[in-house]
Amino acid sequence: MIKKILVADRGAIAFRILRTCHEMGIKTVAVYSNTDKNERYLQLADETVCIGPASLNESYLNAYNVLSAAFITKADAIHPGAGLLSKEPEFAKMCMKSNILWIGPAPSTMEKLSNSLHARRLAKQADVPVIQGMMQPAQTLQEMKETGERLGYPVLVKAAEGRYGQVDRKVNSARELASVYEQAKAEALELFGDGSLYMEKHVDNLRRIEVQVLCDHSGNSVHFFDRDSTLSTTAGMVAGEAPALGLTPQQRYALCTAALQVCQAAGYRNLGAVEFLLDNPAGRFYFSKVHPGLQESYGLTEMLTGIDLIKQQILVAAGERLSLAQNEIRSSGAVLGCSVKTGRLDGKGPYDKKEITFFHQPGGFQVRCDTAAYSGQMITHYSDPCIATLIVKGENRMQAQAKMLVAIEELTCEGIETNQETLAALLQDQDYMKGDFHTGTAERMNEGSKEDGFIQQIYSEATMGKN
Amino acid sequence: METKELMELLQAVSDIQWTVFEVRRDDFSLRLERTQCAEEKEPQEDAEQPLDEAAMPIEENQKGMKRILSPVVGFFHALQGDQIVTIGKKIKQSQPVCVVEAMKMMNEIVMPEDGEILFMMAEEGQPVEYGQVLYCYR
Repeated sequence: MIKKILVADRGAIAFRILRTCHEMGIKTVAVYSNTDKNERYLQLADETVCIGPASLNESYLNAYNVLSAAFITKADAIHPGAGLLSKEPEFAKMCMKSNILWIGPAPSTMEKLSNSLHARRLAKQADVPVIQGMMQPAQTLQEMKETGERLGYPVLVKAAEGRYGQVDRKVNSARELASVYEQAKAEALELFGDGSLYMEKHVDNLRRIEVQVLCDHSGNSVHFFDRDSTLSTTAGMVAGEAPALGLTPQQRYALCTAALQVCQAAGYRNLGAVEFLLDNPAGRFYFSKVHPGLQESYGLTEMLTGIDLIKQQILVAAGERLSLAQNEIRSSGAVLGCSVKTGRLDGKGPYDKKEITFFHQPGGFQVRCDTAAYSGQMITHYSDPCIATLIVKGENRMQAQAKMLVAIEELTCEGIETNQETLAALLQDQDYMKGDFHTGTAERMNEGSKEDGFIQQIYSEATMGKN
Repeated sequence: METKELMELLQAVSDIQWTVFEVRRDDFSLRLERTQCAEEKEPQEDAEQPLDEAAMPIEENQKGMKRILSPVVGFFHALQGDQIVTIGKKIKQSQPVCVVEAMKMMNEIVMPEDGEILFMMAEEGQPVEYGQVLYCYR
């Protein structure tokens, strides 16, 4: 069993992992950068190690310093948290080579799944539908042209190694294809060192649904139902909900089963989220990608099912068999989640260096506030822009929505600007209330049907280049 | 209270980093407050101008004493033989003062400028974190 875990993340997520470790009787090491030395999560750890200066690349993303911190404290496992190093197969490999247990999926699995074409082929082998398109990288422009004719325009040209859709281009006609092809190829080569491109049919009005899964080393796997993550940006969740709205029981069953099939085909171990694109009017879904390890929105699933996912993740990583049977995992009620952020929505800053002069976190029945903020905290360019994640649960979506509005209003964060007003406006938006939002919402809103700039911003940022 | 007596008292506590200092005797009372002295250098806001790493390991304090800080996380190893570092030893710029071992990589730490070692702050084999003081010199 694990004796000491180094938590390679900061803020609210570090707080939470440290708490769960203490509960399990595991000693903890927390790491921090020069500017984070007054953070409260450090007080919860048995040991702390400063791993570098303010810049993320030289501290939290500095694999050598993080691993070295595990060495000097004799930690036998590393929990990479959510984000930062958690999606880096190279770091996972370094941990394993150093005989330090990596609490996450195997690096070989992560590598396999991070390549979109690999993942598409894997899903197809597992009989899980993918969006119509190429299964091998295009060798020539001619091949692209022929595929374009076969699929019918519009199509998407995508990079095999692209993770956040940076290179993806929508192509409306064969005439546009030639220039797009060259451009995208050059860009992919520069960004990922691999210029492999492929093409798939462009499908409008999709929603993004994630199925939370957990697989142990004996080949057992369970799912924890689904979350809607349509309204999220590359910088993380804006608003999410669990379970996703408007799925029939048959659809939900098919989706969750498909998620487990993908995991089985990939030999996936540990916690993960399998993302699908849902074409709701047509009732079809397509496999999109697998997010390894812990996601920012894991709290929604915890509220929905009442299960401590981090505890389960640590147990499975330590080699234990899953203690949960699928029929013991039940979802009840409706859960909504919102990220209270500071600075720009896309997380690109710049932020002013400011002090949170007063902070109060909301509470109450079925209200969860994941935060590391406190009165007197300094927010700098290097701070996590997410101040708090609010998660509420109601008997139904209407009740959850009312509860969330109260929680957003109660959360007090003086001294810095937050997106609370925007979130409140979003929650009361007609389309949001009806659950009528998808990856095409932004375009429709840009045509001028809505005047509310706030919400338009959320929709457009949330859906930019993400289909 | 006599002024001389008060001065002596203040002299006595001058080395202590106090923020509030209060004296009460009979009908005399004095309260002094000091706002944060010597605040840490704040990181620069502009991401395009990253921190000057070369300038980081030396920080000057009031008495002209300077510090050599560890630039990495790892284990401290003292030098042996001719290169051994002792208190009072004068060391030239760029001469090695110790090694910090991180992931089996030996990071040689050198003297940033000519100086005399005043304190040795780490012991052989001791784990050190980023920014930890290894030596004080003048």
